[in-house]
Amino acid sequence: MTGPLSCEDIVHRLWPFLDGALPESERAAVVAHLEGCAACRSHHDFARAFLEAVHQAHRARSAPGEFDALQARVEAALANAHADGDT
Amino acid sequence: MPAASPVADDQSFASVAMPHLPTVARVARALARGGADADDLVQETYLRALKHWHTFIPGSDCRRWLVTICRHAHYAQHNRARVVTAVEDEQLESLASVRVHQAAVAEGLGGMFSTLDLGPAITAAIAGLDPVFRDVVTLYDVEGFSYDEIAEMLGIPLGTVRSRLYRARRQLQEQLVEYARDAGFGPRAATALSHPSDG
Repeated sequence: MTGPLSCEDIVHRLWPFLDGALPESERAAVVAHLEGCAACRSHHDFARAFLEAVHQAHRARSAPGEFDALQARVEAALANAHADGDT
Repeated sequence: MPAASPVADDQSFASVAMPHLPTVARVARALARGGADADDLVQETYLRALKHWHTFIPGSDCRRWLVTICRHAHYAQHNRARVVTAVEDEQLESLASVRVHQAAVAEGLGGMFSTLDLGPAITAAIAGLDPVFRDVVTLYDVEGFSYDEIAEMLGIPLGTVRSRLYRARRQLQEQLVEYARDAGFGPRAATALSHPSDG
């Protein structure tokens, strides 16, 4: 179990924490600090909201059928390459 | 991913490689900065993939394999110098991101990501990043590859993946705060967040 972490420790671990890339012992220590530190919790919430906005922007621009025309074009090119004996 | 056929034939290519076209297309768009070259890059990626399909190991990660081909095809065409002059330091970047947050709070923009529709601004900001940072943030935050997978695809150390990712995120945050400020969101009278990490 990692001991208590300082605010500076939290700042350095914020992104890997949000990415789920911290060892469990460190993750627990970060959670414990965030529960008792409003300033670090505010940093955490801002960073998490930023990542969610990035993911949301990605989902919003992925419409069904968005790549149908491109897929048809690629499949035609692959068929031509195959017919030409390029593969 | 569907089970790969032990025989590397056209049928297995269609069933294993083609379903990843949306991912390849999004990566290509990021690499080509949303330009018209993106679709050409996707086509070139699949032509190369079909040509070298016999080298693909059935059961391995085809999505990663295709993205690697896509990146190589892009940089072979553009032959651009990919020199990073900035210091790549994870801890400095983490601290810099906190300072972006503090600046946003000071301008009344602390809740901007929850309250504003920043989708188009985010897409444009990612497209405008330096390629080495754009590649990593696209692969991690958009396409969901892991740190390890990206390190392998880009041929860079794990620490470099993290530092580039954190730097990309900080740059995106800075641009989005600027965007929100320029768009007139948030009163400037809000109190700046005071924190021991300020020092």
